[in-house]
Amino acid sequence: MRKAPTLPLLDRPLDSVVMTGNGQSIDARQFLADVFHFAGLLPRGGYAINLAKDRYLFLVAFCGVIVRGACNVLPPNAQSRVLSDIAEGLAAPYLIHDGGEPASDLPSVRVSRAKASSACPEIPRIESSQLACISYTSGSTGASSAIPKSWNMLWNGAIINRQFLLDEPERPVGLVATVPSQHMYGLETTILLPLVTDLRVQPGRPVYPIEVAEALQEIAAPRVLVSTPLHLRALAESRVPFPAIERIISATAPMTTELALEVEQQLGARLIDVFGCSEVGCIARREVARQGDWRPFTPFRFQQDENSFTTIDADHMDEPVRLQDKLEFEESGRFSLTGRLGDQVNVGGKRASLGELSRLLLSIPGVSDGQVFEAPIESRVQRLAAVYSGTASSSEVLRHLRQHLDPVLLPRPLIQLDQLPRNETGKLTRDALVSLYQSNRKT
Amino acid sequence: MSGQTAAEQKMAEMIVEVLNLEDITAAEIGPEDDLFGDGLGLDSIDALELALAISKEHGVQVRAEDENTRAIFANLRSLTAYVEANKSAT
Repeated sequence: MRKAPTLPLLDRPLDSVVMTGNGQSIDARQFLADVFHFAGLLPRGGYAINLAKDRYLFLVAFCGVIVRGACNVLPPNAQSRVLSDIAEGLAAPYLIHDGGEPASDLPSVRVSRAKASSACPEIPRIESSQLACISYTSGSTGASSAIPKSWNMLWNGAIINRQFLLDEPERPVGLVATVPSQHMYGLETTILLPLVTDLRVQPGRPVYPIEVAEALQEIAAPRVLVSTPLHLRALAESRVPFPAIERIISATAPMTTELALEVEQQLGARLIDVFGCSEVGCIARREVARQGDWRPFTPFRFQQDENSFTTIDADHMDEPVRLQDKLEFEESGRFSLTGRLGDQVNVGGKRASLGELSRLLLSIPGVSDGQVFEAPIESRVQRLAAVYSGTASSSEVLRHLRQHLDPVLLPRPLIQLDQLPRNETGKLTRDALVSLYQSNRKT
Repeated sequence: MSGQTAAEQKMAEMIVEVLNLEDITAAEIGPEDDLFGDGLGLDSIDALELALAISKEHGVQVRAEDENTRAIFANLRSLTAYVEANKSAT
């Protein structure tokens, strides 16, 4: 496929509603004016760490940065250490926020709700090859985990999602989401998809059931809810009444059939489970209440090697990507997920490598030996635990880890020992770790 | 230690049970210890689980404009006070 040299920023009618909620609405014309107004506040080029929480303001900032020829940087969280680690590797970094000064020394620009009064400009065209965003795999923030994407990849990904996530892309639909815009799944479904289809985005980021219900009430039917298994379980089990939802899109971790059936019954919506990864975006879907296998979006091509690694490619991708999940294909081209490669774990939708987490633990002054492992408990969410030896106190170790990691990835418990029970070959067996974990229990 | 009121004690027991906290007992949770961050080390997943348990047990719906606004979840005392206040209001 020949790549077009430029691509538009937007493909939807200028009088269609981009943002709605709280009795307010903003159409695409006003949205473009807001984008250009904000772009005018930015330095030329450079890297904008986009921390805006309000979904509309994030969208304005995201597009403003691209129009300005700069690159959006999407940190996995807003911890100050994470921000400074990320900024260190970038030329001319600055922050974008929407209120609440971020704890950082970096220069910052605020994006606000003041409506730009300038006339609506033409829909801008963006260089296809322009670096549009850099995101990071959630477990770490090292330079190696940076995922750069061109406008070509983002735009064409959005076109693919329009075709495969929505049945009638032309129809206006209201959208509420519980996931942050900075997460690749949130970015694709709640920021990029609205650029190419008539989605009306509710600007909040509700998390608790009552907040989700209120956000849904704010927008007109038909409604789409973008969420995760973790949030959906809470919604299904809550006693909160929800307005009619037509479709629920879930990602970050595979749904079980039981949970999907419960969610569909409690919320009266069709649930679509999406498989994807930060490097590629959404890749396949299934209606998990009725379908066990995944149906890949047709633009993607898969190749498997003898070590059961799957490499995925597509015309719009900047380069092929090797998947961290094990895929087993059927004759029909559909596939099942049969596990993870290597030492990848998924904690409430945040992915990390146990090896990388253990290396981080070992890098802490006063830690001489240590290992992070999956906690052997029957709970609804996989949790991590860790053992270590050394002179550092457990609160020192935790303080150090907390500077680098999303809180959900922190080991619980963190067990301090005089010496780790390594076997003759120097290995810590799973059995040894499980018994350590159990002997640490107080209850 | 303790200094927990009866309501706080019940809440502490719920926290330990719901969140599978295995290296701390309910009585060890100080009423004004931070539940998140440097204190008990709870996180966003815990907040969601806890909110659900509170809605089932007390019929009180927890809300936070922003997940990071942790005024309600600041400590055992603030959480218990919030639940008690909203229970009596209904």
